Amino acid sequence: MSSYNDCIVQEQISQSPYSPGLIADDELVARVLLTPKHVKNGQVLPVAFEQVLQSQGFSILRHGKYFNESLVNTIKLLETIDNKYTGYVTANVKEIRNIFIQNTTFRLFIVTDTATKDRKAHADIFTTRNTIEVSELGIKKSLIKYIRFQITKLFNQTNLKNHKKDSQ
Amino acid sequence: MNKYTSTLLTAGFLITLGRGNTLVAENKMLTGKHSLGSSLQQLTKPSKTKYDEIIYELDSYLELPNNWDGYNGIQPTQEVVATVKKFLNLINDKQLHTPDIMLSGTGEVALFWKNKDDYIEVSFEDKDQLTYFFTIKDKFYGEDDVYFTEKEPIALYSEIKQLHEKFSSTSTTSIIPKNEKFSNTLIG
Repeated sequence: MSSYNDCIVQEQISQSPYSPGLIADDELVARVLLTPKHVKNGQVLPVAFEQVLQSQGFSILRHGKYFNESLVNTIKLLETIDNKYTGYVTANVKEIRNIFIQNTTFRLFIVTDTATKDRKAHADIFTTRNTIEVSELGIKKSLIKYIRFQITKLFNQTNLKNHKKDSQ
Repeated sequence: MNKYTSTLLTAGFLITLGRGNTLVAENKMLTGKHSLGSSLQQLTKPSKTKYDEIIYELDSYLELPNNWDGYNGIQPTQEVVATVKKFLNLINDKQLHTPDIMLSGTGEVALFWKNKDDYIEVSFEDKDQLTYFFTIKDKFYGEDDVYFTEKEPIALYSEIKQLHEKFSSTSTTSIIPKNEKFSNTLIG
């Protein structure tokens, strides 16, 4: 288990030779959806963000220069006969980085550049909850579900196929 | 509208929800546009209620292939599905509003109720257990791993009932209110 500081510092060091550079606060990032089951009434459901709180990282794409080709290659990589591209939702990096655990100075997420040769826009959201310091806080499971719900609010710009937004 | 009228309307709305099938059949008979045969068919073969649809969707989760969400998603276990059904039956027995349903890639099934400001989520990952939270105007309350077959989550039922009272018959509000900025500080 790593320390909180070791985790946070990863944002300041490029994680891949294919990366176009460190991820700035004012960038947008996109989560690609491959199932209509994670969309209801034109909006993405909290369960689509379950993995953001898992240790393996939450795969996203930077919505910048290499986005389009990375999106095409992501769809090629992930789409199968059982799951089809459904669209993507975007969030602002600064808002993700500015989520703190109350009454602490601990951020809950980092956003790092994990580009690959074919997906230069690839990035990941990692949670700090598995670091030594944050794990000692013992975050409740119900709070994790609440965080998932709140993350959904951040990914509020939708670009979904075949889904009409609620008319309100 | 005075307080009593408002309460009566709310109660009327809930009763209507509970009698959905019967009302559909009655309305079609009243229009006179259906033959006796089709009217009888409506009476003997009621249309699907939201509860039926939720059960149907829940059962369909068991048919999902591996990697159904493109991110190595798995299907829920039979035990989790059976647990959700038990809980849905309780909801139905207590005449509480039928929730919506969703499935995560980890095989967790979750039920949720929502309106513009409030949200309740109950999630199921293990046999006979549930974890829930509700958020009322950005305040959070939750409980982990409640064995609901031994001790009913009274606080949860109470919140679902209170949320009922806030629903109106025209409520079609979205799950996540648009343009609502997250305060960026979690409640711990």
